[in-house]
Amino acid sequence: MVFASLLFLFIFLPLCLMLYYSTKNPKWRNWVLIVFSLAFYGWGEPIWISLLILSSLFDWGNSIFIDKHRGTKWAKIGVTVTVVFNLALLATFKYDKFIVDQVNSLLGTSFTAPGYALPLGISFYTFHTISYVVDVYRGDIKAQRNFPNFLMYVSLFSSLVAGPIIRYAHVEKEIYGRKENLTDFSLGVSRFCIGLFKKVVIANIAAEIVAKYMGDNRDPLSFAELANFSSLEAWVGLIMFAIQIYFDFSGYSDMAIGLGRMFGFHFRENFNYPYISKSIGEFWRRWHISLGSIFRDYVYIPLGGNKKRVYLNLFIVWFLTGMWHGPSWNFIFWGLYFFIFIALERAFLLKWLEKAPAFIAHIYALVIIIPGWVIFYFTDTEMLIAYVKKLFSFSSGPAGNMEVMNTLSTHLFWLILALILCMPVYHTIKNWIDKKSGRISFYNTTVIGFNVLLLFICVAQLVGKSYNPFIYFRF
Amino acid sequence: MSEVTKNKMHTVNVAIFCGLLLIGGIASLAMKKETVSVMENRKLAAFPQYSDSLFWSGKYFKQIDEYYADNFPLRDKWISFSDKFKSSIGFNSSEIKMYDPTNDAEANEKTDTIKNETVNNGPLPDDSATGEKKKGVFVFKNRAFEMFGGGPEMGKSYADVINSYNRLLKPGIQVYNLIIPVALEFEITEKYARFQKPNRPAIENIYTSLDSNIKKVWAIDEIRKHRTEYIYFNTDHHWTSLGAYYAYRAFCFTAGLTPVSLDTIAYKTKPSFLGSLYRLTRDPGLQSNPDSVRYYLFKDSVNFYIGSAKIGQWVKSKMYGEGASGANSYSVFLQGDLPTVKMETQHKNGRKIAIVKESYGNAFAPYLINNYEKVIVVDQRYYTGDFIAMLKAEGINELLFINNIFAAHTPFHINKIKGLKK
Repeated sequence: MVFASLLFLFIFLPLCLMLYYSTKNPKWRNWVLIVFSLAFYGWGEPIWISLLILSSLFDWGNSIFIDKHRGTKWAKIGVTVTVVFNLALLATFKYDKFIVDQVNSLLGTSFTAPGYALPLGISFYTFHTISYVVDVYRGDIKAQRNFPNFLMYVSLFSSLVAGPIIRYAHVEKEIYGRKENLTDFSLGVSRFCIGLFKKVVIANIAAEIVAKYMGDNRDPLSFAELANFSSLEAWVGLIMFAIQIYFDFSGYSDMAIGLGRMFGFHFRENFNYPYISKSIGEFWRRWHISLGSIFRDYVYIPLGGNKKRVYLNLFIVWFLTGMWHGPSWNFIFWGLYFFIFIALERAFLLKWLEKAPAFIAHIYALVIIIPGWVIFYFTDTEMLIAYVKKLFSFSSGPAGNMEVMNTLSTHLFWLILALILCMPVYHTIKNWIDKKSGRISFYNTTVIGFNVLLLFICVAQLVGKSYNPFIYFRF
Repeated sequence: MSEVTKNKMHTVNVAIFCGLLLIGGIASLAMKKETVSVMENRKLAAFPQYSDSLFWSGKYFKQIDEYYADNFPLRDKWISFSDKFKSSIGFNSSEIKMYDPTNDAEANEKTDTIKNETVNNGPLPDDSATGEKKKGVFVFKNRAFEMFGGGPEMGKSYADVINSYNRLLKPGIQVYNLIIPVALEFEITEKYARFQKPNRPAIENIYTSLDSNIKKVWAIDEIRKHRTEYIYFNTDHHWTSLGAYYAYRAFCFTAGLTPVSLDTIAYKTKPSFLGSLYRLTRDPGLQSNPDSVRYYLFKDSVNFYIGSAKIGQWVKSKMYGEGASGANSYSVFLQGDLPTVKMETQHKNGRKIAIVKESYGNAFAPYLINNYEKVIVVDQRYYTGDFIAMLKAEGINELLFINNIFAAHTPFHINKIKGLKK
């Protein structure tokens, strides 16, 4: 199931909230979350619930084993088994075809991959459990003795399928007997509405324009179509994708954080206005923060971090970060693309940037980040190269730019809003109003009406999406 | 702000949010469900039938999602609000007024006379008007157009099917073929010429692939002479009765008949018709440019029958479905897409024609009652009877395959026409 759907909004969520708050017993509350989380997960792929439960059970048992044999070689074996087990899950279900393809092309063999459908959220929940078991091994947290509590942590529907990656250590105290309260619930509601708006109104509309110029799954871009585009059209497509992916992903994180808060969880932020970064290093501290911190804490620092072989460590981290995003070379190239700039920044570039005027640093970061998305977008290398050529040929297409200018003008207010929302204006305005208005906070009174408005617009868009007319009836 | 007020705010915020979700949820479960959406011309998703395979593939749940979204309370109102919202997020293309010569009556007449002198087969010269692609159609000057992209191979296989009928039915039956161009052929400007393949070469491709004794009707050239008239709808994918009339004139020329003149014929009009392409795009520019459907009340008397798959079984009815209105206005012609209908006239000249068509043929067929003793119309998509036997039983001696250029390049239609032979 997805958050941005009518069934989730009007059946799943109210039912879940009602049952959750109908009991005061924290044990039953957790059970409500487990049942709803599994239903949420199984809604798309009922068969993979089994994998989720089995993998949770395995890692849970292992963590208790590690706890018992703390300080012995058995603990080390336990943690190794967990890491290998989870990476094997990823290799089997996510990278099977990729690995087999590489082996075949290296050895000239013709193995066929098992070709499983990717189990939803596997990239996220394997990281949940790895980080948990490693933290238990390191002694940072105590092993969770109660399996339902652990299952709730792994399967919690708010962050199960698309993050953020919740670290057990961050929510340890909230797993059992957390203190839900009205303020958190209300702030969660507001956060959820904003996230929903970002997804439904900004990301989905951007996606329509992206599909027009870069193609999508249903109608991939062809070389003939690309040949007819002007460079401006290609750039508009790419910038729209930069907008789409940010609002899609950060909107999802907002909804996850908001939902968590409705149930009394306090998740950490996953995005912090990445497009206002002044360097690539900074971008990755603002973009998908939970993923970056996992790679920092469980790969980069154990490898030696800044202390030894720093460039090799960076290379490994960015290779893996790229690879995590998908079983295809373009994602690895995308990760390594960032490695290059992060290495350059470490070597000398960052010192220059710090001395340069701020706007130069901002432009530098965007000039690297935005073209980077083209590498992320096209899994087909030939199309990727053709698109990059189109971008940098600065040519006009056979039809000129009338159509794309028209697209921009028919989306102008929306585009301005999207660009503004990439910057931290919201918080600035909120703080300013809070400070200026004395007794009655303008912000707090309008936020309610604002939520209703956002919800209303989003529901209309979601219903509108089902509008699917047929010109030729009965064909 | 005091803690007490703050708490009140939070209470209200939570109460409103939960209240709205709850009301929406209860309404969605309690309200009566529709089965068909008239606006979208389709059946709404029904609640899926449970099966194990559907369940384990996850499709069962996907279908429940679709069912739920299709049956959401006040769905039409939400959709129209969504359209309004989406057209308000920028400058609407229809708000940017540009000089558009086709909207200027005087200029219209001038271009008409010029066009009559020299027929230009290519796109029109550029003007300042801007168009955009929306949902796979081209929206331009407050009109919507389907874009033709059919390939020559497909055209050839269409021709092969027509040839097979010709070989089967000769010498007793004279076969004709008439390919109808689409509106964009006559409206496209240089700038957008790449959006569709020119229609005439595609029609030439079909006609040259046809047997030499099949008579080819160059309707496209006759229609082109009248390109500035109201020959295609603004908001629907069909042609108007006037467009069909020019094709009829071309047909008469090919078939050695004298076309009836429209000047003295009474007509009725169905106003405010927003057609299929409006329903597809929901473009506000189209909404501001609704169509009207004109149908002619010919002086010659006609007996109109609706048939079935069974040969010789005809039920008397009326040539026009005058009840058709709103989104269905085009169904006025021949009462819509009936599998087969028959018209008998007082012209006892021995000419008896059968027409194989899709919906474009509906606006065309009525003109033939001015020239033929008998006209039988068969919809290639829905007729299930023994077509060849029916032709013999009815004494048919002419056979016209009339198709729009899309249908003539679509496997679905080609197979349906082929399938009439059984």
